Amino acid sequence: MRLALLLSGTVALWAPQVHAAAGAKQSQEPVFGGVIRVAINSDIRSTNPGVRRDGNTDTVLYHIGESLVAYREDLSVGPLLASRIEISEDHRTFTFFLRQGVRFHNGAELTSEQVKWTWDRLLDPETGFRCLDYYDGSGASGLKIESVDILGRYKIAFRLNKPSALFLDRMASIPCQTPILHPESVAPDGSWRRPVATGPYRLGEWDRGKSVTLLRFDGYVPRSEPRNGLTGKKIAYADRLVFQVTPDRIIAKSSVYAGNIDLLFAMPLSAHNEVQRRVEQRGDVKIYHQDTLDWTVLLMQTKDPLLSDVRMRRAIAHAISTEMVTTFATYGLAPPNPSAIARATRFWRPYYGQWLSYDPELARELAREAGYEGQVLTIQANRKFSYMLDNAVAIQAMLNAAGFNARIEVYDWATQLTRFLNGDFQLSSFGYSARSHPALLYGNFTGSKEVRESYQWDDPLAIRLIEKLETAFTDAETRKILDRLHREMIRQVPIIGLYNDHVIDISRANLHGYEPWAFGRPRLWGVWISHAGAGR
Amino acid sequence: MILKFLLKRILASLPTLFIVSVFVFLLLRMVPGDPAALVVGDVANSAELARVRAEMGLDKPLPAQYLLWLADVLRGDFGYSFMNREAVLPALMERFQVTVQVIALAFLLSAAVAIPAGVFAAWRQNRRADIAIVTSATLLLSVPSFWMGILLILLFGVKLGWLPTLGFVPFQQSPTEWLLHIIMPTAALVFVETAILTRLMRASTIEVLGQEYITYARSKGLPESIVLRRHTLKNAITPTLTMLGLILGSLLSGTVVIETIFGLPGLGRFLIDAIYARDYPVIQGTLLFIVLIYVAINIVIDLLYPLLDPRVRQA
Repeated sequence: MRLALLLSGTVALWAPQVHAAAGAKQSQEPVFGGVIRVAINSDIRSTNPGVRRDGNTDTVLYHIGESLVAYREDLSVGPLLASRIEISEDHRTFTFFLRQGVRFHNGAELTSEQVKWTWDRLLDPETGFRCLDYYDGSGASGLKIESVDILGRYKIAFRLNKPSALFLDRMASIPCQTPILHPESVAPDGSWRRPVATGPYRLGEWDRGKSVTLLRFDGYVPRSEPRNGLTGKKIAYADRLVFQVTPDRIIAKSSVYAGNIDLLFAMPLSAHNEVQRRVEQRGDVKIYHQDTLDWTVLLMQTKDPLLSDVRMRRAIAHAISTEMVTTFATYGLAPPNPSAIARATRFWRPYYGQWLSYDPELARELAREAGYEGQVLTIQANRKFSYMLDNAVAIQAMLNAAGFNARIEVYDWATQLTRFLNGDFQLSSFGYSARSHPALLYGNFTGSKEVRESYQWDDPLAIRLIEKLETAFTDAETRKILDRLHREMIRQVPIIGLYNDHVIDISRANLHGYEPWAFGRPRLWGVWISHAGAGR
Repeated sequence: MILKFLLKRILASLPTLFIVSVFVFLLLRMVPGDPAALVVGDVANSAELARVRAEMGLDKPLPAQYLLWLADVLRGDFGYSFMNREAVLPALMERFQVTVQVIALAFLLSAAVAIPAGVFAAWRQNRRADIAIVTSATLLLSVPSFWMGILLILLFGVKLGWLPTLGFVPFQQSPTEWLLHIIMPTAALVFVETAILTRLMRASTIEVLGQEYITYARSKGLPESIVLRRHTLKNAITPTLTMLGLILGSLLSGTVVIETIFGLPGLGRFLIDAIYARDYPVIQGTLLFIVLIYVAINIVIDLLYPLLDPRVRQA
């Protein structure tokens, strides 16, 4: 007997905070047409999804391509190109029933053939898929796709080497996106051409260093249920989306004021009060707030002679008030979160907010017990992500106030990242990018340092618990394991969690239908520009 | 004669180019930060990192990497960007086209304003006009071009809404839009360069005005306009010409910041993005290209001297 998984649309529990001026008239009815200009801080790396990528590349490409499944607003996984999914009792075979009538940008119909072609290409090491280790057995989970079998024109099955509760989460991943492509996307020699996919927008022009223009795909066939995360009904109102490269975020903000840009996402938090005043006084812009899944932390190298002693790590944790660091670095806009379970996920509960108390006296005592005699503690930070430096400054002040001898070394991001990957640091002010499922975040920093130097938590019990998450098929089971993991985190302190990043987006007041979400990146279907007050 | 001179200068610049290429190559490798780490980001695993490093050719010994790169460059192949696999040389040329438009415009405007202003200030030395010009030049010199750029954006982009705050439109696409987009970045560069050039032109003009042949020209009754145009300007411009070459170079470096502020897809931003990304082929190619431009400008200026100053021709 097979378990039928009902992956239908669910009502979003989360609601973003949007502030618009009282005077700004909401356009009641959506309007088709026009151009939406979005500022991105650097050019995209390619149009080849999951291969040559970064955050901006992912953002542009999920408007063009669609996977079999995608995240909903509540970060559960729902079908996108699939109409439904069946999971075998042994949780090793996932059968996808494709929606019929879906068209590629070249007019061809979506069938199992292209799904198989896409996955064969992704699993071929020659393609250079960034997340191949998710599926080829070489990753920490050991998960491997054994076969992708066409069972019918609209039916295709993925056979895994072992049961997995996280297979669909991985398939829906944004950094590791797996849109179904038409073979015309590559040249006869296998080299990349351009994405011929099924999304609501198609690639218009990539003017390198300047902008990427997407054009509305008139043959797009939306799902019937309401818009929900990256799935549900997607309606492309704007004729064109222009992602304009605007390296300087403050100039990008000025460009929103001037009407040259319609949407700026992830504006510097320091500009919050100024924008808020403009919203209230002029009403020509809107401001949006959102807590994201990005997790900001202080890494501790457990191989370091000083920090290998858990008493020393606990001492450092007691010396740092996560509340104060969070308030300082986020201007009071984000709540602290010491756990790897993001507040935006359905798994969050107040227990995960518990952490070692801020107690400098106890910190001193524990440090003394651990044999600390005033040796220098070096915190690595960088200026590219200024919040990491802000965190480091606050942490240094608290550590020194508690009797430690902390100093900050500021690197450029490339150096700090390389040192992180090589495990070459003592303390490092760092951030993990968004992972939809806590298991994926835990999996990113937990494991043997012999396998990967960048693993922070090298503990057999934690590794076992994370392996268990791979086969936790219900939320209740998952929560039980997450509780244990958090308990162990508090006991062992392999890392100090600070907060989930808070992002502020701003738009022109005549942009409607826009909603930020936990991934902190824009979705531009269902968004329209009213003609009144349109910018330049 | 000129051809021989040109050939000699080109040959003399070859060692410079070679030394620069070695220097840039080694310096880049000494800077910490692994380009492969930046490509894979925090989704990295050791195998993927090693694969990307091999794909970039970073697994080979340093001398081999250098020789391979040099051999490619001599064939006119500057390699491919680590970040987006774009061919470096065509990308360089494309970005340079944007930069050169801003620089050329800024250069012409600076020269057009600074040369007469400098001569006029020298002619009216220590009088009101001179003091006004020198004060303005000092003020403009004190304002960094990036700050000027931000002020211009706030005034003409945000406050008045007259000019677009960012982006670039090619001239072929729309001359009007091209002009609207290029005005502010050019202006931001022009102010500082004009100030430098004005002060320089003033100084060299004052020196020439003190020469005996100027006193002689005046005493024989030549009108002041002829004294200035025919006898002063011609002699005062030669040292300024040397400076013009250097100014072109400083304009090139000035565009690094200006292109970032105004979102221009030019050579400066290309270089900055590549430095942050440790994109070795782009950094090496761009720096080599910039050195080539410096060398070319200096050769052109050397060729101009004899045309302006007969003494150099005779020498």
